[in-house]
Amino acid sequence: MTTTEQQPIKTAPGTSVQEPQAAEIEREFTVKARSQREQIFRRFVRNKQAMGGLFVFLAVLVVAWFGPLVYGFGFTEILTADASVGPGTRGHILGTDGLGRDLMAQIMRGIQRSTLTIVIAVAIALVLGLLVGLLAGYYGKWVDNLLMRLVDLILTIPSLVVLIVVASNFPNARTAVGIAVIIGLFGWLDLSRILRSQILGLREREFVEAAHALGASDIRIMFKHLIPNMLGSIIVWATLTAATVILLEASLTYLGFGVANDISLGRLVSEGVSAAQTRPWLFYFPGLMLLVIALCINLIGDGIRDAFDPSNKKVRA
Amino acid sequence: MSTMTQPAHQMDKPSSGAVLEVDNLEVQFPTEDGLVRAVRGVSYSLRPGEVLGIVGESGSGKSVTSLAIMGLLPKSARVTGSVKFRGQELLKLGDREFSHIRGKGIAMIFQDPMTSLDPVYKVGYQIAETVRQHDKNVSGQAAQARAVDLLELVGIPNAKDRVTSYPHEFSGGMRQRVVIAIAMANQPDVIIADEPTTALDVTVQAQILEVLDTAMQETGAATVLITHDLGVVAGVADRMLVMYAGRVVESGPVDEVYYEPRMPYTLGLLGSLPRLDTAEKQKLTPIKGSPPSMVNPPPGCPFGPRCPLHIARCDEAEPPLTEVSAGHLAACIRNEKLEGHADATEFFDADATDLTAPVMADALPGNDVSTVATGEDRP
Amino acid sequence: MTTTTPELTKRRERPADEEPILKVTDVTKHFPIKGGGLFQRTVGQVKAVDGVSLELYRGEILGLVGESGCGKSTTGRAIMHLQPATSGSVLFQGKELTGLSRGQMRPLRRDIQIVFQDPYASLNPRLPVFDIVAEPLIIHKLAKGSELKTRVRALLELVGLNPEHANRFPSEFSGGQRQRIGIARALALEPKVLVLDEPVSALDVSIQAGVINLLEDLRDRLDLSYLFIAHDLSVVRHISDRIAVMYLGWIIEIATTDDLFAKPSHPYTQALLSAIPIPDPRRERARKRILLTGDVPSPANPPSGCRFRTRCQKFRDVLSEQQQSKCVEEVPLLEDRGTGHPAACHYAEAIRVL
Repeated sequence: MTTTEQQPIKTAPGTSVQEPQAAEIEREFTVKARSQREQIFRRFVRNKQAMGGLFVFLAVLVVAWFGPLVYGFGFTEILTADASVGPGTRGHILGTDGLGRDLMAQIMRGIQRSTLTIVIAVAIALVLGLLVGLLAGYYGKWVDNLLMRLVDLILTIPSLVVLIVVASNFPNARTAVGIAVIIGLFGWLDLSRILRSQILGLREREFVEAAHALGASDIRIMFKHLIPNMLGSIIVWATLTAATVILLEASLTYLGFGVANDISLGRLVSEGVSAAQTRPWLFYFPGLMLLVIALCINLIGDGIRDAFDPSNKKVRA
Repeated sequence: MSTMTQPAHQMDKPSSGAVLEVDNLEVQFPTEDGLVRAVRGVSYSLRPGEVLGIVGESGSGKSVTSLAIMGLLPKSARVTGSVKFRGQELLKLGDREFSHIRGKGIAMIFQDPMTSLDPVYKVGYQIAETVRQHDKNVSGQAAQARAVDLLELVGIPNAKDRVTSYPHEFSGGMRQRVVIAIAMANQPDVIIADEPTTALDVTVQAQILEVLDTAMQETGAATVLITHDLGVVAGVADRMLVMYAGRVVESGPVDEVYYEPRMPYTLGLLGSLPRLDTAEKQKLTPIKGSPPSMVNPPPGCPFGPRCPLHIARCDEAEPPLTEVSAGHLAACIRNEKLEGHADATEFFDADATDLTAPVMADALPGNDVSTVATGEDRP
Repeated sequence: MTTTTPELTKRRERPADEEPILKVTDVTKHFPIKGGGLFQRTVGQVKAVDGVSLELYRGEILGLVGESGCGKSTTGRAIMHLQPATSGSVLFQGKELTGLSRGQMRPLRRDIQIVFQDPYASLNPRLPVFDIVAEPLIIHKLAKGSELKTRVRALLELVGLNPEHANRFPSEFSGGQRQRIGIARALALEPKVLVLDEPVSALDVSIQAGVINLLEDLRDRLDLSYLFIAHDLSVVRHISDRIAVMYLGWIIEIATTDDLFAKPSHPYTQALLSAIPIPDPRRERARKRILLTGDVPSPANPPSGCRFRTRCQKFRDVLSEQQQSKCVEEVPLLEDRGTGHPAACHYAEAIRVL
């Protein structure tokens, strides 16, 4: 019995086929009602905390980027007459600093720069982490040994110390972008470990063996077969690292080694510390913003991780 | 209840003589996709000393049935119906009371001996433990001696030395022998063996089936043997049940079911097996399609879309098990069509290599049995 | 896709002096066992495959059977150059495969392909089926654009799947269908030889039959040769022309299917045949089983002389002490000892088991 086009379907004697071919084959799909992607999406959406975090985070981003278009004050405007006023006075929603610069405008700008930092740092760390993880996991043996010992070595030094040392050697890099690059250059270590161990497992899977049997090159296997199957880990790592980045930047700046030639949330916090008693809005508002953003990113990251992880025991009838 | 502390064999036998009676057992699992109805009304009785084979492919519900009987399902599972062991209702028992019966009245043998034996305890200890758990009066020494006896009985060479070995020091076949020894230890009335040889090589399987036979002789236990291997059942069982989509679709004495099947699924299943003993090549008859979704089973016969005898009436209601001859039941409203025709090639398409329409007799145009599929868009 | 016309291609008669398309000679595959310590010395070898020779002719199906640990899968992978052999020769269409680099092997992969056992693990869960089947064509730059689409569609239809579903993911298909996808992928390059590593073992029985029928159909239409690796002798009997039986890294008997079942000559083959249950209650109850003793020895430390002697029923029940010493000291070669086909036993004797 053949199944190429224009072949009549042979039937058992005495019976006839009534339905068209396409409709019948549909019945074969009795396995899964929803594709994997849909299931992951569904799980995320059901997670109230993750959705809450996502909502708040998006709201913050919208305000930070579109706010300046409608807000009355710019972040560089110096209004000496309005110096050090509290929140709510004369249109300054969150108050002003000692020079008369509006805090809300500065915070919006700070969020913009901080999110830029996050994106750049995560991107750099991602590329480096992928590179090292792939090489170590795929080729194994001495390459793996060498790279992983290197990673171990760097990891023994607290990240903040490393960053301080590097930042202090490059005074020109004390912008949002510059700090982002520095953080990124040292932020790939844990990703490389995660990916390496995943690859060690994936490498043995039959579909990778199948790709070898077809004659696929190493690059092809890495990009078409390995990376797509590690997306879950990568996305989770990216969101959780994003939270770490913003806090690292804040810490660095607070210690005096971070952003100096730019606005950032960290800078606002560190400059506001001294005014915490007398003009609390200068400290607490930026600090709160920092906290909220880090928390949201963490909730989103947890939500994504749980959505990918089918061993979630929650059962809904 | 005070009967808990009595040895199992002293309990009163129910008047029907059956040592295990399952009545309309249903098991449902809540999952992400909905309520999975894994077992939908299974009933059977097991008489003392007999061997009942339960066969079915994946998704038929055969393993879940026995796990339900033993009370080993996760808490989220909903079990209804009745399971009576020697007249005592098991489904109402709490885990504590159940544990008195498990291992003593009813013993279970699982598929994978590596996970059913505790890797950190010596095998002799594990056997002795099950003995002492059910009879506190047995001394440690006596229990150990019994362990050695049992190991010899199941054919482990140098039992006296091996009794202090750990499970990982044995091969798969040997481990399964240990599992059988543990099952035999307390002279159970019922042994439930769930795919006991599936993970073993065929020559080892032959050895283990011998050991199982020894165990049945020694203990006089009635046995439920669950497997997908129709060859194993043919040699070992007295009666058998064929399960499909969570229900029993055919049951009866083994000879009758094999030589005179009256449910098309059974016929197709037997026809799809390549035979070791036939000289000329016979045609294999695959069964087109896949088993239905257990989340929302369609109203009619679950085998309908794949059945060569399907007619519109099959989709109206699920066919009940009706008696087609003495002790032989089949769940098919057209079972008489199979009478006298035991050749699967008469009904199933033997040249089938593809998955297109199962042939339909009297199908109405536009007959939408499509609820079998799970929510895929209809073209 | 060079599909032939709908009539079955007549199985061609093989000329007597034809060279085999695949000739395997004395292939071994040893895996080093690394000892403890900082430097991981090699303390032993697992001799998974220890001197296998076989021939596969054009258009035939050679079954390779054995139980777990016998080395059949490793043999398949050594032939495919996926786990290259430690020693020995694999001649494919006259060309020596052992010792080739990956780059040199790549063009040859168009002619010899493999179908894996596990339909759930052998397909990349993140790629849609179209990509999976198209991959070989893309790697070898054989088609692109609309021609690629046409060829992939034709392949899917060839194995009995609806091409409309090519954009779905493997998780949306059943086990039998996934195995068909794997077969479509293997056929994309129009190979001459398919190595099938337990292609139906992971499938339900009623689904197995469909895939087996498909494989037979494809062999007839496309004039393929198969090395069919399996542990289920019933399936192998049904599909194979010739069968080789492996035990602990060796081939211990090789014969045409009919001969092997009518006149099994090696005690292991006899025990194997007697152990396999038949779905026929009357016959099954009447059978006398040959039971082997004990377990399969470790491939790291195989017995001297004949490897099977530690379990052999003949050794245990029939042979005299003097005869037994031959089994202990001398390795029995795979040759015909008067039973009509080669068997690796000093005392090979054809016994009717079925």
